[in-house]
Amino acid sequence: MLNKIILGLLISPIIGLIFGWLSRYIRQWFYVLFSGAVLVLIVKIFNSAFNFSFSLLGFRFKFVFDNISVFFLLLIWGIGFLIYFFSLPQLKKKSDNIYYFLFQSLLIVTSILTLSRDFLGFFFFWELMSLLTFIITVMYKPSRKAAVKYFVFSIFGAYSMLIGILILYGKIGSFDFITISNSMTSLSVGLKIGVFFLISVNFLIKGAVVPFYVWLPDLHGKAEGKFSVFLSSVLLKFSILGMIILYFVLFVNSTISYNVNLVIGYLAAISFLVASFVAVFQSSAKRLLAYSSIANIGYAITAIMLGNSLGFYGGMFHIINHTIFKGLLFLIVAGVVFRTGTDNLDELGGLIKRMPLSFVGMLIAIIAVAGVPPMNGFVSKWMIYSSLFNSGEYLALIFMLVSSTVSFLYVYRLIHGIFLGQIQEKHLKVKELPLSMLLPVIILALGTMFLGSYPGYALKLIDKIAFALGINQIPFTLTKVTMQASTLNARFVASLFMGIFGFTFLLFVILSKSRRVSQYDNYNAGQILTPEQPYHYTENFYRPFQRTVEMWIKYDLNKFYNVLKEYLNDTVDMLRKIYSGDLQFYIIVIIAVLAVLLGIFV
Amino acid sequence: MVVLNNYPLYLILLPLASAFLFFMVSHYIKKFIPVISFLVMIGNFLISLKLFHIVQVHPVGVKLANFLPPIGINLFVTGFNSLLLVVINLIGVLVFLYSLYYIKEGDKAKYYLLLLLFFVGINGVATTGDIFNFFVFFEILSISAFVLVGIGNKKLAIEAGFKYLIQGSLGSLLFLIGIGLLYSQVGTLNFADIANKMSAVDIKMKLLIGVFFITGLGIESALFPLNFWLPDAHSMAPSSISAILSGLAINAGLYGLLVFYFIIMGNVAVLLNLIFIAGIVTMLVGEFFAYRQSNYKRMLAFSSTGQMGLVVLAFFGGTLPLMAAGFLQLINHILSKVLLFLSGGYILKSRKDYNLDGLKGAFYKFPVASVGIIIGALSLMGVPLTLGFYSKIKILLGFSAINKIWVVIVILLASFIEGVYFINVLRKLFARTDDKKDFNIPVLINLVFIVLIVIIIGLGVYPHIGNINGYIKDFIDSSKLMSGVLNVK
Repeated sequence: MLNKIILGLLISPIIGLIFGWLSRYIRQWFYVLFSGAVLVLIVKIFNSAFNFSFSLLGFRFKFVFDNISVFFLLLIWGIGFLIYFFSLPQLKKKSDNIYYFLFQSLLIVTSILTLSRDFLGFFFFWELMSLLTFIITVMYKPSRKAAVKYFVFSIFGAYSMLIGILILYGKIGSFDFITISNSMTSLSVGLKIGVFFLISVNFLIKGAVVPFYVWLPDLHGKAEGKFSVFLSSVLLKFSILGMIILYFVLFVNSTISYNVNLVIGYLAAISFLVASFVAVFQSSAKRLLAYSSIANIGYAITAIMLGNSLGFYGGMFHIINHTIFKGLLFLIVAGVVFRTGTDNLDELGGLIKRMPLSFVGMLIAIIAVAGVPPMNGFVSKWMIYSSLFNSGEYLALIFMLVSSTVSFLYVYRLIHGIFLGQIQEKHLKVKELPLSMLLPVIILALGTMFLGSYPGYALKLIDKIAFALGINQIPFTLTKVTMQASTLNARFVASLFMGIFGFTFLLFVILSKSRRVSQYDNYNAGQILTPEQPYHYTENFYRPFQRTVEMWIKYDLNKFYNVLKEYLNDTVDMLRKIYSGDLQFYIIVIIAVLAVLLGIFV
Repeated sequence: MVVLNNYPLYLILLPLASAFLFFMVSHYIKKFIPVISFLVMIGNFLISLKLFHIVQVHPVGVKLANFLPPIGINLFVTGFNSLLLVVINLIGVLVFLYSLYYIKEGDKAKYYLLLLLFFVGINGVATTGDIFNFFVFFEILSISAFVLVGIGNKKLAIEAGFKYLIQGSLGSLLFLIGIGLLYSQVGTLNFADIANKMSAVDIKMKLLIGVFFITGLGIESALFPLNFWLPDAHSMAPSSISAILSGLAINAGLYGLLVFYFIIMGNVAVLLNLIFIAGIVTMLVGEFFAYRQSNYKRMLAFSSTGQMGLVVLAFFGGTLPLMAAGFLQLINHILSKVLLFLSGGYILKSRKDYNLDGLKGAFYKFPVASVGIIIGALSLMGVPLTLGFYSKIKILLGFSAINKIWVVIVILLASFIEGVYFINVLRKLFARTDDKKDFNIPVLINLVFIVLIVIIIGLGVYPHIGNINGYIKDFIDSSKLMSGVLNVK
């Protein structure tokens, strides 16, 4: 049975390719049904745990299906299914066939990666994941440069991890996580810290933490709409998988005497602080969301790296929430791009009447991003705040509060830039998204609202992981989360907020003496506005604020990497002049080598 | 137990005889020369497969004209050599097939004649059992290579060929001096015989001989700083020639080093370390310099020296698993580099632009050739599901097992740089251009690429080429094996 499932998974991209030659509609429905079936399967074998291993390349790879795998598999296939569904109306281009072949392969590879429980297999599938991501993005014109940057960074990270792995292999002689974890105590402290950082560099790069985040805004901001969803909602989360394995599996038995985990935690804290500020001034919607992703993954990493149970629960819950609300945002932006052809906030605006459901979806999502009840982002952020407070990391707490406040600014910019204000004339004929695009949006929006009131459903899943990893469990019910000093009743808070909202809305409807006018029936400073001169300013939206903080955020790490590259290029260019083409010089070198060797040895 | 049969001899004689035939009757069969030489290589390939099959059980020896060693010429093939022979002749078949379409102008008879001689040389090098014949075959190989570099009659190519000639001859000269010194000490040329008598030689003398051998063969195997000829020669030659130069010719030099150190010399730690350090420097220099090339073939040429450094590093790392890994890396380098030269070379030639920019948008115009470039590059980078991943990870594991982490770090640094410039190549492939010109690649040329792609991926997924460790062991012990059957005293 298991063999058949695995075989089915492995050959599905090829089947898709064959179907693609027949008809792209057959192919797409095949993928939709297939990913749906996998999703059902995962839910069905939710509670079971089994291991298997197979030989590949003369090595034995060990795989375990457990709660950690289920967590990530649900993310992968949930989002994968929605993306397939979302892409149904977009089947026009010819080269799509290879694209979907690669995408399906990526789903498979990432799925196997979540099961992998030894370092060789982990490295193998990790590299494949990076490679497939690279090829998918490099084939799409706007993101070609970004893809190169991404792949260079990920190779660097992978090799750094490989050095760590090989040091462990040299000392312990095994790749298996459990074996390594058990033998960890025999290593010296310095070596342990070294290995910890070498391996964590890889996950910091994938998680876009300072100082390695520079690839992410480019890649997530420029990749194809629906692939951005996958990048942000799923692939970004693999840094968390790595962190969990590193910190809670490998180093769990051996306390390193210094708090190296906090170093990572604070790096992530710096990155969410910086990313939130930078996000405010983006004019590309996707780039804005990309920076927001850096911030949100930063919250999760900081929380998880605290090493206490509340932080773990909060961080993991935030991962789920981020997957949902950021997926929702990227889907809507992809839909807007599908309808209007641009994601530039300066060129959009006023789409609320044309795409009302998308507007509602985005409204729900940005409330979640900002961490305001009644959405899911509030609960997880609240848990992270509490964990930071409880463990006394006040600096990180302040960073996070500032960052969250700033996130209000950028989410407002996002929704205002796309949906509010006056509409551009060229967008007057824009229609609401087609049904198959709306359905994923609706599903994710409902998910955002649902987890805001009933966080227990997600926490149950995290609880199992915590149990498996030996982390203390925290008490919670479907609606209530108990932290050290307080209990948060999510449903109560959510109902309260909904109630207040409903009441105010009712008042607004009853008491207002408003008159419905057209968007262009408007004036500004005594001047009548025409469609050519709409009242919708977006450029330099936060100019005064930008002036205030400009001096702090002008430092761009890209420059640092460019300088590094220039130095390398110049040095190499200088050195390679020895290949001058001068034959006499070559002969002299050969004679000199001979003479030196003779001098040394004889 | 060693089997005596003549298969190794056929590998040399078949191309040699046809080359002679072409020389004499080329006027009459001009049209058929390409096809005939292609068929000859197919024959060679089949023989090498047969030989590989036999060698799985016992090594094969050849006694020529019933002269007993150490006097007569004899050939000796272990698993190691036979696998090399299979790869060599496979590349031969593919390159001849490629040449059918690639070489359209110029003196075809001369080209094919020299190419056949090249394969005479390299098959001879890989089979011979005595050091003087090794030298002779090496000269055949080198001289045909010198001329083949300049065969396109382009100014720069002729200049590169000339420089290659001077430096290669210097290398041969030093090698020959080494052989002379060796002969003056042991009075014999047979590998097994030398190995037996080597223990009596003074260590000072051994080092002296070693210096000449390493310098001489170092030039041929492109060790830094003896590899100045390589980037010019490999980038100026026609692509089919670049492929066999980068894939095969420098490996012949390396094979010489291996024979010299592991069969003849025995264990002299100083020389081992010397070659090891040379390997590291070569790897770093090659990869870093390749990183800044804007000419595709020149970049590949530097990459070849980098890969050679890696292979040398592994072979002279000191343990058996490392040698096995080095052997795999060597095979990987041959296959991938040949694929890169052939596929990229065809695209660039049809666009008449030899810079990296000439590859722009190639993926949409030449899909199969571009996939060839992609797979070749990924395999050299060591990305999973290619043979390169397996061989590289084996090398790294080998160094990690003997706790030489600094070597691991250096290798990964070089790999990272390698990754950076190959990524740049891949990016160019996917660029969209407005180039409306369409070139068709003949089906048979695409077949060449597909064969190599399938082999690289196939071995990447299922890397069971045979008992590599056993081959290496047999190779190191071949003097003993040879002594047993050939009555070497």
